[in-house]
Amino acid sequence: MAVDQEAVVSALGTLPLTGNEEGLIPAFGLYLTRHYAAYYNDASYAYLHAAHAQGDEAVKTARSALIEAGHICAFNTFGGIMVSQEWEAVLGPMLDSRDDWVHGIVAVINALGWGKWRVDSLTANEELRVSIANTYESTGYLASHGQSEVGCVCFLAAGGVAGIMNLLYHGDIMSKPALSQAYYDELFRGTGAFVGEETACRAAGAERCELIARR
Amino acid sequence: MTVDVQFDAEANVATCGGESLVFHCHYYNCALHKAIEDGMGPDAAAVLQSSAARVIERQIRALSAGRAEVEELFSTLGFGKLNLSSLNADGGEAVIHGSHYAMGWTALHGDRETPVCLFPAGFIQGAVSAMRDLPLDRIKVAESRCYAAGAGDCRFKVEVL
Repeated sequence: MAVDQEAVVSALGTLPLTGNEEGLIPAFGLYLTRHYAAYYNDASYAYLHAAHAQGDEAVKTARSALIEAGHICAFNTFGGIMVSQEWEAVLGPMLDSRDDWVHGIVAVINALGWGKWRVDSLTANEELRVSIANTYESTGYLASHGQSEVGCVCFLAAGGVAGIMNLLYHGDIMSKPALSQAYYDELFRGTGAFVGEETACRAAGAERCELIARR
Repeated sequence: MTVDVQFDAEANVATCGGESLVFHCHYYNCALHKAIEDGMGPDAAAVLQSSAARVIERQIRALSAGRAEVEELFSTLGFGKLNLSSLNADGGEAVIHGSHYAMGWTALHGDRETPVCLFPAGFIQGAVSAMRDLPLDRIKVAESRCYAAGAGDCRFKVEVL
């Protein structure tokens, strides 16, 4: 059975993901926030631009650090969602195969306010290609800085696509493992881990942001 | 006021007061904060606080929100319980119980020597600026004690210059 993207987005929209009496949003084993895209963008790109003023090594460090934050997000948020009861209830009936889980988590991402993600191709255990019509990162960059002269800027998305593949084809999130630091290290720092790369970016003039995850 | 978040199902984008809102968890929030602190050193605090202040000022102006609405917005979005009731025309003290950033940081990295609530400090700065109809640089906000640095709650000294 194919994943019904609209049904998933609609179902997740009914979850009470707003602050409780303590002003917190506990869900999926996490504390969520409904945060400001402009905050992430302004802070991240101030860091990126400062690195560009310092030279190539600083740029490499900054890009790597921003993508690493995306890995941490993917591991804990996507991982937390995929082991949750809500995942089982909403997505479970639509999932027949491991590949379906990829389409399922992309459907969930489309409910997070991150823009419109689309799986362009998936080769099991080898490669995932995703394109995004409107990442909040490229949208924010264009609004604040105009066309990018520093290359692609969707670091969260790059970390995210790698995270999807690492959770499903390097690790085995379907067996509901504990999302520990040791498991993170195994999936993202060990040999054979998937790495995300943005090959085209709206902020740098492309029509859509295009990302590839491969080993 | 009930915080009104509009979701555009065609674009998969959520907005409130003209600002794009995205779900993220404490792992990512603290990871990004740490990446920028590690990478920018002493310049990071101003970047993180001012990035928050600018977007909140725009949003609160767009919403024409008052104190109660600002406090409700903060908690609805999952950042903790903000209390601005002791502020007066000159400033005063703002308090956050259960700060998302401070609790998240402590859970992931343990206590730290310096306050971590730079996003919340910017939130307060931007909100006070908008509510008082003053430019951002007329509002100074500094966290005086932080849950992540061993305090029971998070407190912010607010000055209207």
